[in-house]
Amino acid sequence: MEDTVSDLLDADLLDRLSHLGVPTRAVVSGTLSGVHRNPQHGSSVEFAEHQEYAPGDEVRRIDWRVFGRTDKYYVRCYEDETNLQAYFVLDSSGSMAYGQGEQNKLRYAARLAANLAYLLLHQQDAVGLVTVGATVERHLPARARSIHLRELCAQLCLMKPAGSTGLTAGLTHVGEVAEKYSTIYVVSDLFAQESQMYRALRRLRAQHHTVVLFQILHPDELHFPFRRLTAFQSLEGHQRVILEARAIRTAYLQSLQAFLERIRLEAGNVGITHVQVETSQPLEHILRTHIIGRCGPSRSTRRAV
Amino acid sequence: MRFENPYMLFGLAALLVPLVLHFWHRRRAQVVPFAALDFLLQSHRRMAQRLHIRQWLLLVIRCLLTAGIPLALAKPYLAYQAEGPKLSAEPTSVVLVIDDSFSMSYRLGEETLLDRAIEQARVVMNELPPFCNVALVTCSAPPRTLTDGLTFDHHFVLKALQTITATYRSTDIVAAMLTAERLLSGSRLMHRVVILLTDLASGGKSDLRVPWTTRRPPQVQVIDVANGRPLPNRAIRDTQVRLAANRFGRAELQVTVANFSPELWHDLVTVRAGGRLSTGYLQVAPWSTASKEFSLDAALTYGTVEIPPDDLQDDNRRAFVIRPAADLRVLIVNGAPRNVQYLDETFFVTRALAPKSEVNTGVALMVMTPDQVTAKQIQMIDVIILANVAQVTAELSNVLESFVRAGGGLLVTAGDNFTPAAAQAIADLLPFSVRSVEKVAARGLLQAAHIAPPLPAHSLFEPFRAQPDSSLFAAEIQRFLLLDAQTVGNGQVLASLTNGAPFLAEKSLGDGRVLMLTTTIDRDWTDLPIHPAFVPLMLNMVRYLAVQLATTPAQQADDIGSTVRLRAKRGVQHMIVRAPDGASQEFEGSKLARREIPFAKTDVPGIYEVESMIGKPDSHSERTVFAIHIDPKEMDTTRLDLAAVRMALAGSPQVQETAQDAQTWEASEVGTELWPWVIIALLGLLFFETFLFWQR
Repeated sequence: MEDTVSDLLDADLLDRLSHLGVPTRAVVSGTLSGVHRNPQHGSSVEFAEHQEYAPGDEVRRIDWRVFGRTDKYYVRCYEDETNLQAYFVLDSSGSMAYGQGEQNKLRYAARLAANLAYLLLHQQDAVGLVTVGATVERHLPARARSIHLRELCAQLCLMKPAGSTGLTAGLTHVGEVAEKYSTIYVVSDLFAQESQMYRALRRLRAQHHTVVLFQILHPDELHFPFRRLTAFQSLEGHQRVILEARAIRTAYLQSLQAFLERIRLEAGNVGITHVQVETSQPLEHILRTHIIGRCGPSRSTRRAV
Repeated sequence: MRFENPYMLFGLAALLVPLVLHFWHRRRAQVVPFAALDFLLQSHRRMAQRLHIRQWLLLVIRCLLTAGIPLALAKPYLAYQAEGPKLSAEPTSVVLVIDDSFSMSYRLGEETLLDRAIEQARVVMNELPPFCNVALVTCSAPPRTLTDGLTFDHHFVLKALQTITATYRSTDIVAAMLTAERLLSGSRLMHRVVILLTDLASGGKSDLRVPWTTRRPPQVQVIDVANGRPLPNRAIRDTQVRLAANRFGRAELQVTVANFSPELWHDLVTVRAGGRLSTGYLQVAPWSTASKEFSLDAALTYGTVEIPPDDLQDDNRRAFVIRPAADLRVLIVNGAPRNVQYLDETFFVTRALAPKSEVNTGVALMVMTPDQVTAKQIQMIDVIILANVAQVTAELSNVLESFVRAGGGLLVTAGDNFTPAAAQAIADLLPFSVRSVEKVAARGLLQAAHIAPPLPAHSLFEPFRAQPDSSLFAAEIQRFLLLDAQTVGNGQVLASLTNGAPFLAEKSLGDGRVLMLTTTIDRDWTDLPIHPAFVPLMLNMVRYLAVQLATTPAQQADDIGSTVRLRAKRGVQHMIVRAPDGASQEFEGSKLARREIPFAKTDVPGIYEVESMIGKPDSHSERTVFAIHIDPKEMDTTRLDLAAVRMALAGSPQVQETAQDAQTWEASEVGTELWPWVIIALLGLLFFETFLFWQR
């Protein structure tokens, strides 16, 4: 990408959104005190709730007053606020090169990641970056310093879309480097090997990470406006197919919708937030709607499994 | 398949255009980098076969569309050997003219030419599109229109075809063409065609040029139902009957046979008359005629002559009339009766008219004296002979005048008693007044007066005209009445003597006739009675007076379709005419008042019997006969040239040009135009291509 750091960040947008945090109902594990909840219920001063006693819980946490009232054993849980560690996994494969100008998928993904990273760093969350082409190309460890944003944006600007999609490798890599209970923002068109990708995502969830999938799609991919005989050239290889676009449109849309439905289903099954982003939509809309206020899985578990 | 515009087929090269465009289009396909190619490939794999088929189908349809246009412009048609004439596929008015004349009865195998014509007309009808209107006309004279003008009701026309039967009439193609033209003049359709189905028998036709009355005559197509085959025919062309001049009581029959074939014909000619059979051998050269004579009993009424049958049978048999009438009732008023027979005034005439031998002249005689004659007695009499009557009373004169005016015949003969004064008493009856009695100076051939030849063309003298040496001219007349030929009236001299004096004079009076013989009918003034010619002369005079002989040479026969004028005898009140096929027509009362009845139902050849009844139908009746014959021209089956006929009937130069090619029924080539179907197919392909192209 030819953009600069200032091209990626939208100052007016950030001005409007910076007073809003990036809350998440996901349990957070961090070493610093932050604005996120710690899934580990420790000796925190703030009582959180009662939970029914299960074998393995510390006996000293049993609330005997509740027992006296109910003749049932309940343990006391406390909450301790910590900070979030977030990782961006950006897909820079060839398929992300589709689109022109502001609707270019990679540019849109970079802007989304940059602005969201800004907001996270603004609330003292640590933000890291992994860019994936055919393989993992860049890894920027998660840091909470504001100066880290510049480095992150510089890495984003250096991305060049090429090669096939190695998203699975990226997800696997981030699962290795991210601390527990991190939030993994996957920004990709998800045009990858589905089964491997789903496995990788499940692994991330098993590692207690919060995963948010931003599926970046161009309007052409969603609506297939082509009508004439067209030679479609692959962006990730040399493959080319000449098709009567009008004749193939219905079948293509059906295939695409089936793919999107599978992703939504899989995301729902494993507790992943799936956000389908069309590059024609304003970035602020995405940030407001899907990050600030509505972001998160359907229900996160508080216990580690 | 053939093409009317074959050079248009060069346009089939346009077939390459969609092919070229197809491959060029693929090469010029817009290249679009696309991220979700996998989905396209998935969809393509699923739909590959279907898309492939659709693609090739579109290519084929487009190729057919581009090829179809020059194909349609080339106007293809399916040619086949069809039965029937060429007809345009566009709305056409058609008049079918069927030749139902006598020659169409000619038999080819199991069917007649008319059967073939009807069948071929039916084929034409079956191949005729429903948007063509048709009329049906027959070709025999006079032409008949069997439909109510042009009609789209083809079923009705087919039914009308079944009603056509062969007639004995002759062909009148020109009149039929004009009838067809008149029918077609009311048509609003673009094309007008006359289809003539005929045997092309010449029938004596020499000029077939049709005087078309419109500026754009119809197209005429001529179909030879005989398919070019010759139609050899032999026919009894003519029969002539005359009383034998030199043989009392005999009639001579001359039979003429025509040979319309390239081969010599020789066979027996058979005459049947009065239950008797006569045969004679006759030989007729190709394309010529020959005659055979037979001698018959003159007392017979009619007979038939036959030759062996051939493929046109009805002209191999012909009826003829010998003695058309029944017995004449003749009253001889004997003005000079004698006891000695041979001296009697009526001795010779009675034996001439009613000989006592077996010869029957058909005359019933009564002889009376003048004082015996009354009005009542002459009621049933046909002819009265006043033979040398001296004094005719006023009463008798009135009776005679009434008799003649009512249609009776009166013969007045001279004698010693019939003086000019006696003649004066019946001057009103006589053709001329009598001036005097003249006497030739002396006997002897060179001195006596004779009947002067040649005799005029009068039925009275028919037996003598062909015989210049007849004994009639040898008869000597020593004395004769000199008539005043200047007498004002309607008398006329029929024959004269060699000295110029009248011999026989005639006068018409009312419905009857009066003949005056200026000499005697015994040997007092002439030796005519002893000459053989006396008998036929007397018989003819009596028959003439009885209105049994026409004023022109005897014609007791006529052709099919002609109108015969029947003469009802005096007093006839009821008359029945019976045709040979059994049909009959009755006349009575006032219709007979004119005593000459036109009878036009002469559609069948043969002998027609006329039964006349005097008074009521059950009263005494008399029978006469007349014969109707087939027109000899129709017997001539010599075939005309088809191309020449077409040229003659063609109404316009363009049609004449198309008539150049001689076609027979079986060689007719027609074509079913295919280009409308090509256009329809192209429209269908266009619709299908559009549907296929826009199908998602």
